[in-house]
Amino acid sequence: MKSRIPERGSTHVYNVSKISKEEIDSMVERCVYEQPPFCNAACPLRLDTRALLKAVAAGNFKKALQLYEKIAPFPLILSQGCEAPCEAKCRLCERGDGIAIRAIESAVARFGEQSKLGGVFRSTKKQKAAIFGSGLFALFLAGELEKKMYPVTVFCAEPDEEMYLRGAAPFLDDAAFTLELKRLKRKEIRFVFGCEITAEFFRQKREEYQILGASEAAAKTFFPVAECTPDVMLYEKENLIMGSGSGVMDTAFGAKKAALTADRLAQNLDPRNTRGREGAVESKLYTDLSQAEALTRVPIPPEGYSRDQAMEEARRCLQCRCEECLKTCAYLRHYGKHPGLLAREIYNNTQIIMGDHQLNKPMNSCALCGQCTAVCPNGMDMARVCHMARENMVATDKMALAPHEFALLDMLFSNEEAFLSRPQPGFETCRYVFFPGCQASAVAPETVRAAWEDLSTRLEGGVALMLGCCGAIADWAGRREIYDHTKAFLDAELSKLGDPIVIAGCPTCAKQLRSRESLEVIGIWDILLQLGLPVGAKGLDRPAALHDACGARGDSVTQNAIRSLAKQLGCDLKEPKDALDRAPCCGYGGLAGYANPEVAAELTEQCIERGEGPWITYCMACRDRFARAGQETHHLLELVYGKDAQDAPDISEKRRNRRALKRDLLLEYWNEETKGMEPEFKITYTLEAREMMDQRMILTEDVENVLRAMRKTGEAVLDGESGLIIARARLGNTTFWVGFTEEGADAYIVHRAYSHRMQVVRRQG
Amino acid sequence: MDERSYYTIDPEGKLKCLKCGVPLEKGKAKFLYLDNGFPVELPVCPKCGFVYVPESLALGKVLSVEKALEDK
Amino acid sequence: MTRHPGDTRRLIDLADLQPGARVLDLGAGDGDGVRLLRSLGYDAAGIDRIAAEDVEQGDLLHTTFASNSFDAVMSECTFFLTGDVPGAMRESARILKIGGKLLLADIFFEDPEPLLEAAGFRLIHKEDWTKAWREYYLRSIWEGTAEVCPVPKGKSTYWMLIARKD
Repeated sequence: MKSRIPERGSTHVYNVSKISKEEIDSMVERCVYEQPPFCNAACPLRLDTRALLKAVAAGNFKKALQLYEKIAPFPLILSQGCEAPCEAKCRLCERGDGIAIRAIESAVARFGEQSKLGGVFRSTKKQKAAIFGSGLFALFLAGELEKKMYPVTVFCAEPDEEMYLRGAAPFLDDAAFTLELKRLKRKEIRFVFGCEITAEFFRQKREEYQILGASEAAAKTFFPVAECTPDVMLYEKENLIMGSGSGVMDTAFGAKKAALTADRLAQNLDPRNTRGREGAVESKLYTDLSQAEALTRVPIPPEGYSRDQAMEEARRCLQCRCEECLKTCAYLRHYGKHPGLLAREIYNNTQIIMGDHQLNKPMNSCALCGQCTAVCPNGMDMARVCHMARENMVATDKMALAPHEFALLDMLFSNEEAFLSRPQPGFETCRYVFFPGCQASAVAPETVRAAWEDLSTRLEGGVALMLGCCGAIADWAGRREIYDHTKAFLDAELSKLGDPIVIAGCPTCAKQLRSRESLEVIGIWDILLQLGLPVGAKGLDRPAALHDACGARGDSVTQNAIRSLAKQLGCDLKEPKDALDRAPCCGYGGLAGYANPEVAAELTEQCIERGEGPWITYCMACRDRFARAGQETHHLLELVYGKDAQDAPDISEKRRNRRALKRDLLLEYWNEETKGMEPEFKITYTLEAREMMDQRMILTEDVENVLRAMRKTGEAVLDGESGLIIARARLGNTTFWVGFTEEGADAYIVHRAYSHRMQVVRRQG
Repeated sequence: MDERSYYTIDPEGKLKCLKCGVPLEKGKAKFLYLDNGFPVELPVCPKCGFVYVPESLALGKVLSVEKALEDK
Repeated sequence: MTRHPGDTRRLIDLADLQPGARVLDLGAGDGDGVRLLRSLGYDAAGIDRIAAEDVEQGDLLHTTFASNSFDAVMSECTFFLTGDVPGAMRESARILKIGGKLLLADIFFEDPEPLLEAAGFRLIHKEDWTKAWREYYLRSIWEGTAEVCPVPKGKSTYWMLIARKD
């Protein structure tokens, strides 16, 4: 048997990708996970405040000090003098007291154990730095340059470190002063005290040093016209780094910029070169404040926080992080990555020409359901990324058929062997056509029949019936060509019926069909609201949870219509957590269930966890997946038409149901006979075989075809150990193997079935 | 023993070809997928050439190699 | 990301470089080549489209290195991927010192020698690794071990080449 859908051929292609970098960048940027927390962003020194608070909350003052010292060579001076713009930006201010960041920093500087630098081999740089003058800028600059491993010499008028420090930071209290003095003395800064800081002195010394810095006062002594260019902290004419401005934080920021300038000058590069973004920034991060509880600040005593107080205050910190979608989507949690990162990786995956496409599975495991877009404050659209990536890989012939072939063949089955399109008996063309969707006929054929019979009775103008697949499967698989072909096919069939108004039974079909502007599509729920419920319609006698279909996301008309109908039926509805536009996907969407059954199961589990059964759904795929997961589930139409589709059918039963429905209706309503469904021999299955086949996606018709081939060619093997006869046949892109026993002529009992996509041939030498 | 073979299994007389009435013997075969070929030795009927793929191989190594190639 | 049949080691040994030579791995992937070179005592750096550990981000056809700054340039399965083999060769020639060597292991659909000569190189050694490469590739897939750059469609040869900039 020839394969219907061509397998991918070569192992790689050299075609240009169809997603531009700008496009993917704009999609990825919507995810704000990587945005800095507000405190970090407000700090011109880029202190990782969030991490510092986390360390303090855990009592790890040593780590907190490490983080603080990274941006502040003199942490106590900074924390005692800093204007702390971060405190005003703390999001908790909106609900109560913001975190007392400065007070915590001071505690960190007091209690934090200094980490030893020993053990890490650090070589000092070759360029030597000289700083002239005193004051806070000069002190900070000395600290910054020392941290960068430049040998630093400070020329000053003061007689010793005490006086130098006192002059630089007069606001320090005694305890802090003592600690900072100790810190200053521990640093590898060479001081030359008692100098006369004159222009002549500068001229004498400047040739010995490659990096020159000065306080504002000293610089102006050397060059009365000296002006500091603020973004590089440089008197450019003389390549002299100089201070400017006032305020502790500004000065610290100035020293930081100056140190970077020193680096550039030492490398013989333009100081403006590649500095990156300096200073405070705006953050686009989103924080969910709804769960914030501890809203009152721990009062700060005059001597500062104790260790315990600092820890208690730090524990109030929410650790701002946007995880809105991660909270609601099992797929994202499974891969443990925020969508911005995952999307970037999935895009890079499509760009690989040679080597492993390791992101194929995540790309194919997204349900394309749009939930992340609905819950993201910025509208990050993972579905769009994954869908585009799939289409791209199909278009560049890199998409293997295996993950989606079963579903695609099933779609072809729905639109060929199981396809039915007929006007209502007695009509040539019809005003309406009922399109229940492929899963409805597969899962609840009796309900489909009852619905159509009802509609054709109560509506005027004729209600045609079309049993087929809307093409969503091809769309989800990224197979544009097959989708367009399906679309054209359905359009032609609808034309034959007189371009009727489509009454969709499934919200996903409705969405697919609505994408054509020429078609008018309404939901069966809309019609039922207009017509009223039929006789025999009955709700559930217990409260039930309603699961919203992802096909109805963003469609409040449908969502409300469903609820009205359910209430009319007498249902007592309980809204589960994350309902309406926030509803998760049952696992059927995006072909996730075929490509990655493990993730799909997690998606279903997530749906079920948010409420208590019994469940009511309005999509047959949801109904089926919930039932397979052991939940009591009813499709709304089953309640309307008094049916109960019972246990979830296996994959072979789903085919059988569609065939049988078509055959029965054709015979009953249009007097057309179709050939029988039973094979020409008797075949039974052990329970183990049926379960194996369902799990391995092997249909009864595949098994029948193998036996048919064996009967024709006589090719089979007897396994002496198991006693089974084993036959095989290549059907399409797969070789199927069947292990069976004979029960007399023309009668078989099937015990085992397996398959593989590889072809196997005999080889010479 | 064929050094090029990536996999070998000897049926040890336990498999019989029902078409030809003879036992399957260890024979040269090849797996093909996405333009790649892997030489192996599998139970083969010496008369009609029927090549047997055991279930454990199909669901084990063959499946994992298929997946590896699909990701290339 | 990519492993190569016959080993990067073989390519380096064929080049017979001076100890401490400054070598650039063009298309360094995950940095294993850079680390191997360093472990053999060379002053190695690596660039690739995407940065990694010991690998800087850079454009292989337009690197930011000064002319005549490397003793050797090594590249495995990368020139072909740039889509501009002559351009990649010219850029390698530019950043190589006179007498510097190009260590190239790659897929060619045509004779590599004229291409090298056009870029200012003299071919001093070549080895055909096509057969070994194909077998290595299939074996690594079957065993599920580290992957090798895949075999393209069409008639191609996998050459290990050492060329000198004259």
